[in-house]
Formats: sequence, C-alpha cells, structure tokens
Amino acid sequence: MDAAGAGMSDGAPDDGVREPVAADDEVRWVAFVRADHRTGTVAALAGVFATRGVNFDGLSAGEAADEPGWVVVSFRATPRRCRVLERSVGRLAAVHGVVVHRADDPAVRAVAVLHEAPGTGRVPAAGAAVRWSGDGPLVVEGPLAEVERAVAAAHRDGVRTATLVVPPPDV
Amino acid sequence: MDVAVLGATGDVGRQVCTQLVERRILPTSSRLQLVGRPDGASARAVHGLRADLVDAYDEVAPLLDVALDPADVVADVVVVCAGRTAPARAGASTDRSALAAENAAVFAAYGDALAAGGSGSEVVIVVSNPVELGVAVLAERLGRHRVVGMGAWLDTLRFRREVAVELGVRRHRVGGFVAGQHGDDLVPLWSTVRVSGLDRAERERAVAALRRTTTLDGFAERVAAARARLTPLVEHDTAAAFALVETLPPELRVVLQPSLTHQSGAKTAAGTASATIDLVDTILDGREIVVAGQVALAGEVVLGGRPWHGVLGVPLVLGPEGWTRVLLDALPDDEERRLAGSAARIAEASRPWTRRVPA
Repeated sequence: MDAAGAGMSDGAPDDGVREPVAADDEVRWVAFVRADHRTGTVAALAGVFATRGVNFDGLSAGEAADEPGWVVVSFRATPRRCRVLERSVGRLAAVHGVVVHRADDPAVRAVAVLHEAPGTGRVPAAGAAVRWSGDGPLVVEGPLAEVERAVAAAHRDGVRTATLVVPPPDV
Repeated sequence: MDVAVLGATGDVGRQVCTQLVERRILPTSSRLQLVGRPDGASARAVHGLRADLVDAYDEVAPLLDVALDPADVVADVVVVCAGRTAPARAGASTDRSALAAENAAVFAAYGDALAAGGSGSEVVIVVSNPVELGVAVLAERLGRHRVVGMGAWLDTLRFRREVAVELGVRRHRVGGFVAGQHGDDLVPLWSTVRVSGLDRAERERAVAALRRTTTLDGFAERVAAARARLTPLVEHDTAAAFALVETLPPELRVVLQPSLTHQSGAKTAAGTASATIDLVDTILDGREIVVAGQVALAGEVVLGGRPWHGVLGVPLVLGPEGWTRVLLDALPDDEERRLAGSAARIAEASRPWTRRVPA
C-alpha cells in the first residue's frame, strides 16, 4: 500500500499538501555561479535545477564590479546530485565558473536585514559570531548558519520581516 | 534532461544532433552537448556544427554546448557515435572486427571518464561499431544496465520494414525482433513476428510464405552467396545491385541492403540516427518500451541449456534508467542455434579488449 493509501485507511483527510521527498543524506549547499549578466542566464540555471526536481531554497543575483556577475543559489541535495548539478551548471554557455560549498561551511557568509518594530532596542547576544549594525532596520552579517540562527531568534522575539541574502564570496 | 553526442561531427553524430533538434526531442531548456576530439578535425568542426544548428533551428534549439575532453562530458543520456567507421566505398571490407582495435580505445577513454566524473546514472546508447564491443567496454566501467547498443534496434526496424513491404502494409503494423550481432551475424527472430490484423493461423501462413526456407541453419552461407553476387555489381552498376537486393528474401535484404547503401557512398546515417533517436526519446520521456538492443547479459538468456554471460542483441525493456528486463521466450531450435553461435562469435571478437562485465 502506498503512502496515500495508508493515509486514507487511517481516516486522515488528504489535504493535498505534499512534502518534498528528501533523502537521509541530503544536505544544504550554496552554489556561487559566475555568469553573464544577461537575459536568459537565470532561466538556464533554473532549468538545470527544475528538470532534476531540485528546488531553490534561495536565489540571488547581482552585478560585480567587472563582468560577469554572480548568481548565488542555495538548495538541498545528496552529494551525488549536488555534483551532477554543479557539473551541469558549469556546462551552460552563460556560466564562467561554479563553486559549491556546504551551507554550514563558515566560508559561506550571509547578510540579513531585520525590520523590527520601533523601539525594540535589540542588541547582539554576548559571544555571537555575527556582527550587528543599524539604528532602524538591523543588519546582521556572519556565517550563514549563524545568521540564520539569529534570524530565527529574532522571529521568535517578534521581528516582523527579515531578508537574508548570501553574497558572493568576494563581497 | 541533457544529451551528449560523442563524435558529433561524424556522419551519424551530425544526423543524431540534427534530428534531436529538428524533431524537438529536447526542450529549449535542455542542453545538447556536442563532443569532438581535441586532436582531430572535429575540434574545429564541432564549433561550426554548433553555429550551424543555431543558424538553422534557433527558435527550437536546446542549449548547445561544445566539449573536447572526455572529462567534460556531462549529460543524462550519452550517445556514442565516436570512433572510426568502415570505409564507404564499393568493395571495402565490411569486417567489423577490423574496427575493434581502434575503437576499443575510444570506448575505454569515454567509459573511464564517465566512471570517474559522471553522475553514476547516465544512460549510454552505443551507436559506433563494433557495437557489441562498445557495450562490453562501457558496461564493465559503468554497470551493464546503463549501456545499450542500438544495432539490434536498427536491425529490428529494418526487418520489420522488409516484412511490411512483402505484406503490403506499413512498418508500424509489423512487430518482431532481430537479435544477435549487428551486421552479417544478425539473427532474424521469425518466431517473434506479429502483424496487426492477422490471427495466429493467418500470421503463420504469411510468415511461411515470406521465409521461403523454414530454417536459419545455413543463413550465413546464404548471406555469403548473395553478397558474392552483389559485389561485382556494386562498383560498376549500383542501380543493378540495388535491383538485385530487391529480389532477395526479406531476411537477406535486412543484412545486404544496409551494406549496399553504405558502400554506395550514401552511408546509412539517417536511418541509424532515426533509430537512435527512438531510444533517446524513450529514455527522456520516462516511458518504458520494448525494443531490441545489445546489452551485457548475466544469465538472463539461456542458450544451449546454459545461462549466457556476455554481450548479445536481444529484445528488452528500455526505460529512463537503462534496460531492465530481457523479453525473450523460448526460441525454435534454429533460432536458438544461430543466436548461440552469434553470442560465441561476439565473445570471441570482444575478448582481447574486455574484462569481466560487472552485475
């Protein structure tokens, strides 16, 4: 009996929500893609992931001081599938280079902007690996994993919105 | 899904690339990798082929990628058209074993590169000859279920066409398979022929009328005799040679018509590519269909009372992860004898360049 059938036999309603199928050895990765800053680059990149059923956890694109620009993609995959994606992305004509890191690699940095309610007066926890700044919107910078923890804590503390970006490695 | 064509600028490779694009097998978001050799003329031509395909099919073309190093081959389906082909001239040797020494190294180079740097799930379709050697060399490096030779499928399509012509129907109304070794040593499995619209008794009468003889024993001698009649005509009166082929029984035409076409100088690139595209399309589409192909068997077929281990063309189920099952019922004695002989000859011809095929 398949999972859907088992659910029905338990009398649980099928709400139509399907969780992504994740293997036990899936981990998070961040791919830094040096690519032409032109029409179609992100579409081509997205095609590589979409045709292999891999969802973007996050995607950001930006210009660099000199061409080409950067596209940063975070995703979950097994090490084998990550390698397939890396090699496939690397073969795109618009792509000049790909570097993939595990998301928990301290070399992967992130920046988050927290929009707090006025007068909250948030300060960084003692010993935090992240740097905090800002007098209105709060800017948090540090290793991705640490920044994500800070954002999660801020959400629990009532922060209304937070924006997290993984910049390319030399930014 | 991405496709790599090794030997993209050869006659067949170019046709495969063109048909993949023209028949819109690949969506525009997929990538077609054109692979050439860094030390040959194809290193230049492969860039030109890319430009030519874009020129012709820009509206529908997939992403086109050029690679010159086996280590740079990245695709979900890899079509092996690389290597040398038999000379396309009248009277040239059709001995496929003569190709083996040169092409074995090509097969090994790509197999080693895919084993070292591939995804572990590429499906490889071997077009180059000797196709059985290509399957053997690649299967022992990549795993046998991921490697299929397309020669038996091409022979099967030709066989079905010849039967269809005799019956006055279109090819898609005829079923049936060719097994064995691609080329002169093929095994037309008359027992597998089916014709839509005919019941069993009608089919048996029709097949008996077509075969002219009731056994495959002596098939090799009949092929040799027919070839001896053709050879003097090929160079000086090609039209007469083709006319002579038309008078032969269908099972002989299956062998000799393609050989004549190749030696005429026209080669068989379009037909070979079309049959290859059938297989690529099936794999990309996620379906499973029954085709014929050369695969590395590990006892799935019993010949002479013993499970056969080695490469052989057989009917099989092909799907997105390669081939899964062999579909071959018990054969009449004459077909099994010829298939066993073909299997033994393949093993003998491949032995100098192969190790053990892994399960």
